[in-house]
Amino acid sequence: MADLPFLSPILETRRRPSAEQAPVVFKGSSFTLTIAHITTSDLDRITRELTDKTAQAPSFFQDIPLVLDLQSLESSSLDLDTLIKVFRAQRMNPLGVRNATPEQQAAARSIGLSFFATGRREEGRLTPPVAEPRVKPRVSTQPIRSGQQVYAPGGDLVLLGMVNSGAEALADGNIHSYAPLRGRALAGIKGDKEVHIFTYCLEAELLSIAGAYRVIEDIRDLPIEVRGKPAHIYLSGDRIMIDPICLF
Amino acid sequence: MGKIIVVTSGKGGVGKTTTSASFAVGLASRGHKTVVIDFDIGLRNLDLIMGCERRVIYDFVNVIHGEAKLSQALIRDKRIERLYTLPASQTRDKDALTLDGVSQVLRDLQQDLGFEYIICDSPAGIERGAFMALYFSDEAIVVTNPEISSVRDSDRILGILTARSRRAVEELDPIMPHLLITRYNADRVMQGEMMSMEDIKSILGIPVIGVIPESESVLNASNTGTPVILDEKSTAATAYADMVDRFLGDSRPMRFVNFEKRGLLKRLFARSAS
Repeated sequence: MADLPFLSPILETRRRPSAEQAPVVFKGSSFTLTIAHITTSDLDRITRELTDKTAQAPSFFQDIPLVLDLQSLESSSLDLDTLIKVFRAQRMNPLGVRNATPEQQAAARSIGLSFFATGRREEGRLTPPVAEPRVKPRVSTQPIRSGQQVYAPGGDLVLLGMVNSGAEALADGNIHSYAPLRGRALAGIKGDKEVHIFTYCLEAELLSIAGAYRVIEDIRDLPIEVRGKPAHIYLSGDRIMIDPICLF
Repeated sequence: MGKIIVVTSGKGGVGKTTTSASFAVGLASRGHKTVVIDFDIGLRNLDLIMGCERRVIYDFVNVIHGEAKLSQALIRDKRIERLYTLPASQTRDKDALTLDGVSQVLRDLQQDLGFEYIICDSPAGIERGAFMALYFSDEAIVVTNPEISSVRDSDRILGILTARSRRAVEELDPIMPHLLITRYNADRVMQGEMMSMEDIKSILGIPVIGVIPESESVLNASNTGTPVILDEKSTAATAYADMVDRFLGDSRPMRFVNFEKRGLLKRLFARSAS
């Protein structure tokens, strides 16, 4: 039943100007503590269980510091005072409680027990998923020339220079192009379907989002509204969509 | 310290050697000690265009291998004082060139012999010979025909200039590129059959240093071994002279370009009936 280590809060002491040592110096530390999950308020059953356990491994349980976890208790009517005495009769040493109701906390406080961090063993996620750290966009100011490639791993690509025919621009995220986009643009190359390609001047040879692609063999295949003009490219299902961006 | 200028293109047959010859003649004529070096090992032709092919004793590779001194290999031009040619080898191939060897020769030309301009005539392609020619350069003349494959290859070579040259690798100031458009035909541009200067500029994005019109005098020049800039009656000669003046800092209007708003590419984007 060994459980998570407990970290006590770190209290900084101010250095006293004189060489005199402070009477009490608080320092942070961590200890591994055993948690005893209390699953019933039946003190007789608890006594019998503890007797068995100490008989099996007397040296392990002797003077063991414990944290009593009260989460599983069906009713909150627990005689905490007697419970502590039961443990102490077995030479076990409860230091405090965890997951106590307000009434249990009041009882614990009155008999001098500490409160320990909540360690809920709930189904499912406790903390919200850690959001992906925001990667700064890669900004490219130079033209990307035929045969060259620019890649923004983990984030967006901002293109301030043109992407020439025969060149490639790739990003895990979105691609924002402020100059003629004449080569190939591939966004969401790790599979993110919800990314976009934006350009001020669409003349691209190939457009791709999350692996789906559209080849533009002849510039005249593009509708007049987007040919060489500002355009927004995104994925709808498996289709690459090209919409004009109206600037005015 | 002498400036190293590469004349390159990527595409073959666009006018690099023709340009190197006329450019070198133009600079030397205006009082600058100039050398033009042929980097096309094995397929040399700069010596033919310069008209000194019968005077080639030692060549660039001989100098790199220590078989001859630089002064023995340099051929002095008979027409223009201060102009010299360093020919390539006809029998060896491009593997004979090494970065160290080329570097040493260029340093000797700059320091020992005091050349102000060192023109490196590049072979076509992006392999060893072209790479050696561009690696040490301070400035580049990118020769481009108004034709789609030439423009694409020029774009490629510009990428290599900005990414793999010595200045790029050592993070110095970048090579200064200049666009030279050759074999330009203003009438065909007017008719929308040929890419215009503006079309090419918008794709390559580098400043234009000159536009050389298509001219029969270029063929005559190579036949006679006289760089075309010396043929006073030729439009190409005038255009090359303008280009040299612009390079040296004077501004000159573009004479052989009709400012064309609707070149070939623009017509593709126009509203079409189809």
